[in-house]
Amino acid sequence: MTEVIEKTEITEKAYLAEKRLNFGEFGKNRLAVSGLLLIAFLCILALFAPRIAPHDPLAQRLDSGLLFPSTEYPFGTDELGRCIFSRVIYGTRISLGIGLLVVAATSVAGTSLGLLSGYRGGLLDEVIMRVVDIVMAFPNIILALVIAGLLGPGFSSVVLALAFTQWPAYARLVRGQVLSLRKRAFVEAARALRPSSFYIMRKHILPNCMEPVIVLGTLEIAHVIIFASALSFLGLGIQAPDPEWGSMLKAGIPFLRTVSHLTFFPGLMIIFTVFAFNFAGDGLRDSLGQPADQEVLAR
Amino acid sequence: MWKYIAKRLAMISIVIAGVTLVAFSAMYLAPGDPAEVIALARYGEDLSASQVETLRVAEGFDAPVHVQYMIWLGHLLQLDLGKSLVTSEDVLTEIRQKLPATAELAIASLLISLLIALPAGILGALRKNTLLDKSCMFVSLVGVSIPNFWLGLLLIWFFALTLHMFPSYGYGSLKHIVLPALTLGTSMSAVTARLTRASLLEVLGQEYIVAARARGFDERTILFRHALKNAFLPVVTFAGMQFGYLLGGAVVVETIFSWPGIGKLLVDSIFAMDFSMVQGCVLFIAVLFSLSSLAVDILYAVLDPRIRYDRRD
Repeated sequence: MTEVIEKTEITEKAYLAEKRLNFGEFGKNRLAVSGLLLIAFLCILALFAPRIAPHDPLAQRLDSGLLFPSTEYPFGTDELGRCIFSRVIYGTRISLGIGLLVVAATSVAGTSLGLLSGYRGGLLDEVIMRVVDIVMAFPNIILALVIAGLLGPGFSSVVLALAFTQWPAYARLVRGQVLSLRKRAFVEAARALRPSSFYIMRKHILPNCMEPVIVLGTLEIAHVIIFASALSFLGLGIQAPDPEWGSMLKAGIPFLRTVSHLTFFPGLMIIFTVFAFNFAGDGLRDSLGQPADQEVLAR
Repeated sequence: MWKYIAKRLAMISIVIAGVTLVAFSAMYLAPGDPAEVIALARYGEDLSASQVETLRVAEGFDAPVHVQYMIWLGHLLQLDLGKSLVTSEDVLTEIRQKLPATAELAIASLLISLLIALPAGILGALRKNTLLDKSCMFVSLVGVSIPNFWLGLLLIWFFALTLHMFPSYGYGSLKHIVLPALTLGTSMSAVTARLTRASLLEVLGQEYIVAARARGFDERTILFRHALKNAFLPVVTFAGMQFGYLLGGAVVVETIFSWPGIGKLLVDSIFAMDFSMVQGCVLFIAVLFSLSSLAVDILYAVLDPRIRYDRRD
């Protein structure tokens, strides 16, 4: 018996080693490393926003509205005299907050349902996968738009709507992983010892599903941030006066001809953030040797 | 094949029922009384309690939610989507009127995206790992990260407000479609270019290409007669999958450019809390999307004789 266990562990270790994140490879991927550095920079901006921002992002100074960039206001001011630089910096809190919150919730929920679906099979699998099909068979930005719009705009509606539309990707991914892992010798061997299925899932299957989930999660943060700012841009997400990048863009449209910096800087910030997560996600995927997933790309 | 199509159609009806149920639930989970919201939209601020109650009974808001949904489904089976709660227009007629604009935008954007993506992807694959290839792929990574609403504003600022070349909003002439289609098309082309490159690279590495080279065909013949046919297969499916992206992007782009399509109708109806119109748009988009992905899967099997959906494995 012990021999079986040892052999199982050896093959599992070999399997893990063969798949393990290759840090050397990742380090060589310059784009990926710069992605991670950009993310670190954004986190610093969000954490220390009150120290970095020169002005209160909500403070209005009607006598100094629509100013062009200067040393006092690096990105200029909006029509109410609010400092755009400060608003853009505080905006990282909202966008990263939504991104991380939604991805944390959906990856945990989606992974659990995918594990359950793949390992248990049967009716439960059928039900979960049909629900996944339903949610995925609809352009998710539109579904999020309808849900957030009807629930009434605001932070919690945006998070709820995006969480609802984004979890199925993880469930489908993890289910596929489980199905292929189940047939592996080390899982078969572990099952021969008849531990609880929870033990097998936690000890043998879940750790081997984590890497693709991390890649998907990183790319998903980029998606979620774009979706959230699109909702706010349409007026169905975060509302003024909160400094969300999408709603700042919307507020800048009437001034597009004369003072285009109102829309320029918040947009640049969205691109910068999304870019960082896309790079890091792509780099992670390359160092894990995973093929690009068409369905993830399609959205 | 027919069995497969029948199965897929059954699946599509389940999907549609599910999606409309979600939209229906969101309506009733929303804070506020729907009858009151609609009454406000119709009669303005100074409305009486009796007006609200009359409307509640007239529009069927007094029934329990699941009964309302069943009634809606019943009407749907007779192809009756009801009337707009705000303007009293027939929902199906309204959607039918908006359909051509969305279809035009979709086709124009798809064309633009292919016009950019195919040459870029093919060039990238042929000149693999050169500076040209790397800069193409870098640009496409940047392209994926640009939100289409910002790109749209940028194009408006440059082509409409600065150069006065194209109108920044509206519908009617060929000039009107340029900026919205360019916005949607360029943002789609980024991913398609990467996919074309990857797919062509894979095909070029296969033995029949080596064999063709060994027989002395020149590179141009190999590319156009042998490689591209197979390399385009995944690109075709992908273009189909992007149809969903197209519809989603259309919602945003139509709103920016005041393009009178289904996307703008949906957003306007959400703002007006016009529940029956929202429900109609959701239904319509679900049908359009499901049928298009079915069409792509069938096309895939027609193009590639190796694919059979009926065979069991």
